[in-house]
Amino acid sequence: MAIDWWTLALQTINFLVVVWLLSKFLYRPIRRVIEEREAADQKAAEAAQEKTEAADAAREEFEAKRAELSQTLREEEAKLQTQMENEREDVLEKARKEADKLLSDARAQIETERHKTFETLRDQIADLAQDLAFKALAEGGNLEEPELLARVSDYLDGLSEADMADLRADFAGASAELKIVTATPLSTTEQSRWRNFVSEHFGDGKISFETDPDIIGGAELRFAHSVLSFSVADRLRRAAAELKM
Amino acid sequence: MEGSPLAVDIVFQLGSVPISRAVVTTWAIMAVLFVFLSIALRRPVAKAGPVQAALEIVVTTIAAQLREILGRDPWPFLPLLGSLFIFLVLANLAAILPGATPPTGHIETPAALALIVFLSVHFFGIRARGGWQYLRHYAEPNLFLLPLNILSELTRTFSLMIRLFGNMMSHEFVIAIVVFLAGLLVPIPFLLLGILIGIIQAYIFTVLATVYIAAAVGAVEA
Repeated sequence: MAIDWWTLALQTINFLVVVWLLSKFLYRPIRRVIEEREAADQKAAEAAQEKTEAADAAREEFEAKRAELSQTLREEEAKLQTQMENEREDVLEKARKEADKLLSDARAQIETERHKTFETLRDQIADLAQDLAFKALAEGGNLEEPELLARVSDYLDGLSEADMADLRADFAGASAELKIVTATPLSTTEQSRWRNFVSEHFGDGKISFETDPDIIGGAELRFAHSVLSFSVADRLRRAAAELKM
Repeated sequence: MEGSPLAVDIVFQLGSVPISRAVVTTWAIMAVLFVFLSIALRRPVAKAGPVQAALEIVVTTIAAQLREILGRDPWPFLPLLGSLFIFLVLANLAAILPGATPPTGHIETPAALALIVFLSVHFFGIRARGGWQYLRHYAEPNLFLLPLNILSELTRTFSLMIRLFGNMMSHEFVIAIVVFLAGLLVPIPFLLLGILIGIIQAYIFTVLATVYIAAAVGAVEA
């Protein structure tokens, strides 16, 4: 096997031509296209990055504006709250003052009414007391001795026989004593008349006379176990009790 | 079939220069490449059509393979190594065309390619490392290994040539013998096998050339 040097040389040259041919018509165009594509991709990526950054900036601006708006809103809310609080305080103060005024007016009116009522009551009580006094006195308080005795006699005549018997038994006891109490001391004549009156109605017995200014007027017959009162004080008590009923 | 298949088949004379069939086939391959690429990539655009996309896939796949082996930007090496692969594929596949013989089935073409690879290895090595630094690596790791390194340089180039020539030539022999013994249609499976062998041999030749260049530029150990 001999080598044909011409063929070897021509094939060497041929291959170098192939290298040139492929470089010019294959590798360079394809590399250029790939680089253009990569550049376009890079450009698109940069554009996307720019858009992303712009979007980020817009978002940040939006966030800042939103924060600013939130702050403004909070301030306005606080201002409004303060204003409402002040208005509320004003309204409350006004209402409080009106209430105080109404209350003081009501109290004044109540006081006036109370005073008026008190005055009316006092007048009525005075009239009533006067009536009571007149009545008590009319019923025996300021009676003269004979009239008083007549009144006592009428009372005793109105009692039943049993009651009278009890009173006589109470008076006739061994240690019994009838005390005749008056507001002012009785004279001897008046005491004598009383003795005669007692003897006439209850028989003989022990009689004593006492003075008690608290009974105001009239007289009280105090037996051992019972009392017959014809005093002004007793009349007044009974009149007061009737009024309470 | 006349004469030895190993003999140079001179088709015509160009003056005093004999033009062999391998040269004519190579010119035909070059012409086809020129016409096809001129049409296909007349106006390459970013939005590629199907033919341009296919060519882009071929180129970027080769570039990716080179990047894996070289570990650096493959574009400076692509014109040589990519062309080597494409030319070898087309030259080896010429066997399936009726009347054509693959240029790589004759010793001159593998020898020419091996010679170019041998020279390119030193070219890229010196360009990457500098002359002194590149020559010094033949004496590494020891000066006594200098003859062995030089011998290794020569034998690997020789083996590159012989491997391609042997495979393609033997395949041609097998086809010729089978056609002679069995008839016209029987060699078809062998022709299909020939396609596979042609692509594999192109790949092996290119990868080995890439490894040699990678070693020269310091990307890998030789």
